Amino acid sequence: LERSNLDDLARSAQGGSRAEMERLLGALRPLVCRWALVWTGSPDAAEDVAQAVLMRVHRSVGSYEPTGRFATWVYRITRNVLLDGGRGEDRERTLRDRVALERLAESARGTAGRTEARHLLGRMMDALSPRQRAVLDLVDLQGFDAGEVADMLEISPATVRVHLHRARETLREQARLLDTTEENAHAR
Amino acid sequence: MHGNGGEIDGDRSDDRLDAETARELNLLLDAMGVELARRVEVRGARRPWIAWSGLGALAAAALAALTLIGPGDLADSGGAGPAPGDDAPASGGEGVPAPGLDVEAPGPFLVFPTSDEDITVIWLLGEG
Repeated sequence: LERSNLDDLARSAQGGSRAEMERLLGALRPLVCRWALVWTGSPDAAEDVAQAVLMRVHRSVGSYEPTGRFATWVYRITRNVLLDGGRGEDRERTLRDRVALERLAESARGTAGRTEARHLLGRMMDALSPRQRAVLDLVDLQGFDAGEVADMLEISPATVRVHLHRARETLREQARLLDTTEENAHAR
Repeated sequence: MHGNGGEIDGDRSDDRLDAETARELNLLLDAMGVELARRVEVRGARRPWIAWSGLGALAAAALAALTLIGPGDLADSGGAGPAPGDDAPASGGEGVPAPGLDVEAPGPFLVFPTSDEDITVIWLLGEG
């Protein structure tokens, strides 16, 4: 889904049509789920967050002023829900979350998810802070620019760069460790 | 919406994840988002059904209460009073939230958890 399409859907939904609102929420749902998943590392928590975010979007889309990207506006709602719900950086992930995450990755395997990517995702969840994961996902994977991400997370662009640098460095190291582990496994 | 690498001032190209890794992770997270969205949609779709089934339960509860206890007894009861045992329903009086659930009712009510964590049956012990 192109971001401009999302902006168009948002403008249409502001017209008050129920069908347009459903189209908007349908388009947003996977994106919000992904953002919440990257932040929480927990499918269960991400489901709850996504529900709450979509309800807030439904309630307040009328107040969205299309001067900025709609995705940025929704991300800020997502971030607020995450922080309101105590699902910020202090949240300890449990073993149950990790198992649920692996199951979700496994069930998504039909369309994507080579084994290496699933392993790397697990390492990403373990080794990076929620904010580092969010920055890495938004910039390197989804292609948002630093200014937008700074707006989304309500931090400075310089802080975005610091998080991004650390996240890339850590993830590359994790990828190297994974490669080494796999090579050792093949050698046995 | 997706792509590899938004531009950042001062960003060094050798600092980036390699394109293949980024692509694979992006595809996986996309697919996981879609799968989670499907679950959220199913959850959302079930709620209206729960509301209607709740209305049925309400009617049954009101009828049972009137038949077994009589409206005079209920009017004075306030809350239904917790019954002993793990399976006992939570209860509340007027405007009192049930423990662990965000429920407020205009009168006394009983809350019955079910084996499905998404479904909770609430019996409103209506005024006689």
